[in-house]
Amino acid sequence: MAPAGGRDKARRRRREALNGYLFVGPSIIGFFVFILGPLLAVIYYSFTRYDAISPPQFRGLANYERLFTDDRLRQVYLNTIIYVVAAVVLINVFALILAAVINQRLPHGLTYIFRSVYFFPSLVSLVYISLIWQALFQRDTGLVNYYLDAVGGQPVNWLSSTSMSRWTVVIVDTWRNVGFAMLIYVAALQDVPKELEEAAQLDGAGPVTLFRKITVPMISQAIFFNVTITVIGAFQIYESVIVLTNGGPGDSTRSVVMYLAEQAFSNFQIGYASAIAITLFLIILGATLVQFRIRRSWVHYE
Amino acid sequence: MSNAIAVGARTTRPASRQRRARRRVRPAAIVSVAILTIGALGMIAPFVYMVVTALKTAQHAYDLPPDWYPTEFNWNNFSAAINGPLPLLRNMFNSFFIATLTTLGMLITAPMAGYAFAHLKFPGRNSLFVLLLASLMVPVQVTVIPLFLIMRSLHLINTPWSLILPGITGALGVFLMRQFFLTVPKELFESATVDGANAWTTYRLVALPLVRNGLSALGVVTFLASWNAYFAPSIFLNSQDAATLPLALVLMRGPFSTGQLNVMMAATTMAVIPALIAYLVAQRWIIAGLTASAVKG
Amino acid sequence: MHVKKRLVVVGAALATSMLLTACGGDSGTGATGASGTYKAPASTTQATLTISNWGNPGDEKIYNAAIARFNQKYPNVKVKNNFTQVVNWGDYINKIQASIASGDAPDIINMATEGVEYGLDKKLYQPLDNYIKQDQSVQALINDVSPALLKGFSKNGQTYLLPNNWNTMLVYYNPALFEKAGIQRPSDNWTWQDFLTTAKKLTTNTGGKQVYGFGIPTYTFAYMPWIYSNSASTASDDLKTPTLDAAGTVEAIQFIADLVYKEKVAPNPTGGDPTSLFQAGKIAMTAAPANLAATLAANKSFKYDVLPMPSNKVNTNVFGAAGFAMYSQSKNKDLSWELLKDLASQETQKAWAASGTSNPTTKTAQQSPEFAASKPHSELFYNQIDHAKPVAAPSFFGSMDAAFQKAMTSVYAGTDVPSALKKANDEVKSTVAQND
Repeated sequence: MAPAGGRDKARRRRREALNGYLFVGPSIIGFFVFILGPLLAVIYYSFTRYDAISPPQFRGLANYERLFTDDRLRQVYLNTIIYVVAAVVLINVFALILAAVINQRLPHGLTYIFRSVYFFPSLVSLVYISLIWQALFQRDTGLVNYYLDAVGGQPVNWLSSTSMSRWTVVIVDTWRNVGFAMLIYVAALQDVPKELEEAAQLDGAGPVTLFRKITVPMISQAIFFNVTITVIGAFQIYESVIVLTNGGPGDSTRSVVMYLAEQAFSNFQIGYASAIAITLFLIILGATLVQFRIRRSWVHYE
Repeated sequence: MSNAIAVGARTTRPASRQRRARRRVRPAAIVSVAILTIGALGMIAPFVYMVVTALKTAQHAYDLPPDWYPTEFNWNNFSAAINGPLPLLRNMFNSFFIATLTTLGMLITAPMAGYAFAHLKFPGRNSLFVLLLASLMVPVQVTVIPLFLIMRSLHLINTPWSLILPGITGALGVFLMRQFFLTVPKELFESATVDGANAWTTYRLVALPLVRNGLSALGVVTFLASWNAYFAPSIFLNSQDAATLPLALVLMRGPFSTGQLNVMMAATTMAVIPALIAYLVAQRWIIAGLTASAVKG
Repeated sequence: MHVKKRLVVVGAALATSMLLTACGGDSGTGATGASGTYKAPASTTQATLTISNWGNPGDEKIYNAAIARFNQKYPNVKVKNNFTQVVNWGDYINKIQASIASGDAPDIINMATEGVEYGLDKKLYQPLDNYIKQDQSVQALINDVSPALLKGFSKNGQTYLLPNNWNTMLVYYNPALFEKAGIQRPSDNWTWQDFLTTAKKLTTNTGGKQVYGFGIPTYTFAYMPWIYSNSASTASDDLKTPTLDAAGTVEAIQFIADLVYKEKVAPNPTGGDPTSLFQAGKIAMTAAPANLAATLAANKSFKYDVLPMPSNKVNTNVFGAAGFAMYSQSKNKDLSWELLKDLASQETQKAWAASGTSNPTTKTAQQSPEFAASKPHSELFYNQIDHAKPVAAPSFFGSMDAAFQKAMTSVYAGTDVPSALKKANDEVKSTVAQND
């Protein structure tokens, strides 16, 4: 290689690198200012006592000690974990069933209609959906209990029961999000080569074996994606609870995010709220890492 | 990596459709349709209830058994919602303004970064990309306190900018666009570079048009996410003139306001209809955008 | 090295925002009346005044008219009317604190009884006595207001707020449903027992056609008449400690809870809206302040009437009064005073009388024909002041309100009343301790 060409190449490489930085610049600045900077700041605030008016005072681990003695925090974490587990299981099970059923060689028009109908609620703000369901779920004047009564059932305290209301939140969440997960599964199922299934059928595999041995591995990536999305989404549950129950009865439906917002922006205990935010961050981080670990050993790569 | 995008972008596969058409109707298919129909009714019913109630008078708003088709047409509810306790049209405009500017910003920053991460070589490219991806694990709920303090010191509380500024960049958009750019063969850009076009021209004239589908998908998804957002607006906007539509509807229901069910449902109907129109018009890109993010990183 | 670089960037971002905070202070337009001889600002004065305002639907019009009158005198002053719905008082108080925290402090604060103590505690209000002393029109206005209402606006001999409007609770009923059940209008001095008997008679039908005797409004103010008429309160007389778990309070709340669970004369109120159930004929009675009358005025085909709240051990109702305060750190005190006067003037009072989402404070306006025309039995709306106590609002009202509301949702979920209220009371105490 001629030295002149080498220099030319080096210059070109330098120019390409410069362009690269310029192109990613805005996104990286956004990341520093609105993600990383605030993340570092929230860590700092979590060691302070701060009411948003007078300057923060360093308090060491006091906020973290308070985490362990706060009964309300324990309750809101319990609720949130129930939301996460229930949402992951229910959304994915129903979505998989729906996707499998839709994927039964139905007339194309029907597939299209069903897919649209199930998917539409995922596009509507959870606020609006919760407003509608709140009216439907009224104990004594709502539609759902009216129909329950009509078929001889007992009225259910959908919104005002310490044991039931949590599940009402889960029902509304599942109802809204099942269509999105279904869509992903339908896309993944369409990619499973029919030849593979037919070959397995010829080998005498039943539908269950077929599903377990062929389908699940082939769509493992979609499962992983859906689970990740539902976990992260369920940890952030907020507006549906605000509208449906406002956290009640008592604290029985309050989510971690609601509690965090209450401590930060109602009680102005910024330091303690920051410590709660850190726990939320660590838990989401942990859950994601665990999922990646599982994925590495389980997800099937093409 | 790339084929999942194709999955998302593609809605039908000609070959399998033909195979389907050749089959006879099987009992399993009938059962499937029955199950799906029952489920679909459950998905539609709440929206039907919403529309029917939005057209009722206050006297009949709670009638049981309910009507499943409109029996009265009290259009006044819509004007009552608009002229009611909250400046609803203004709130709608606020939502629209925030969502539009956020989307435009995202459509500028994300494709640029996506292109660079896909096709330009520069030191630290991979670690920067991983760093950016890691921010997907930092939801706004974790950083909301410092964000509030930043917006406060910039005097942006109660202005749309408190939501637009953090919204115009984002890892998900970069990630999505990188995936779309990776499906484009590198040779296409390289030939342009050899022709002497500078990087910006290559990007604008060659690269961007090739990912038009990706841009549509990113645009629609960003717009919807912003249009539907509740958490951050509820923290940053606290006057009713600055409120976005979801905030306004929650306020409208408050115990000290009229909060009448039929008017509430009229307001909710007005809020849901844009999503419905967007869906009907842009279904293809919405589905492409959402399924494209289902790709492994 | 990477980390270092990142920190530099972050530091730069933070430093920029700090710098931005530091600049942009303006010197203000004078505060002569705060202590010395008042000199009204020149009519050419340029400034921006911010009002932290709240209210019911329709109230905004009244305030905007007052602001327009002010702007005739001061055309170069821009008035920012930050008007908001009050979902609950804790939230409104928080919003003021947030706006002060966010460097966007108001010049004028519309505050109701619920937040007066809180504001005093945080030294939000400018004492107005020196201004009032020098203004005969304001003195005349104040003399036209019931002393009971005024009492809540001053403390230790200092006056902090000019009267705006006030509210009390009344029972609203549907005469058509009374007629159907064959019930006469009960007497004005009816008791809890009479109320319960009436509610039982009004509860008819089953399933989809069920009508309930009473719809329970769930905001804190609406529980107060029951608690007060049972000789109890939510806080001690000196407003230092919460008394949510006192025997009399528990008993009053038990009476309410029994309406749902034991007597079954009221639908479970969780998440429901008695206002719209009332208009739909699903409940025959509910309780509300004057704002319900304003709402019902828009529904011409619906007939209603009002009664005083029933009494039990004593005949004590509740009231909440709203007044305008000047923010103690305002940079435009004299201008704010001029605006305050327009916001609290007789003209504004007359507008309250006519539109009626709240009661006017001056006797002139209360006895005006406009007020009588705006609602049935209009005298009941203002004569309650003779036997009403202000809503108990300690400086920790925000957290007390939240805890009490939370406890009530537990009660409607079937938790027994004493333990729900005990828990709420303990919670308030511990929050108060945390903030000290």
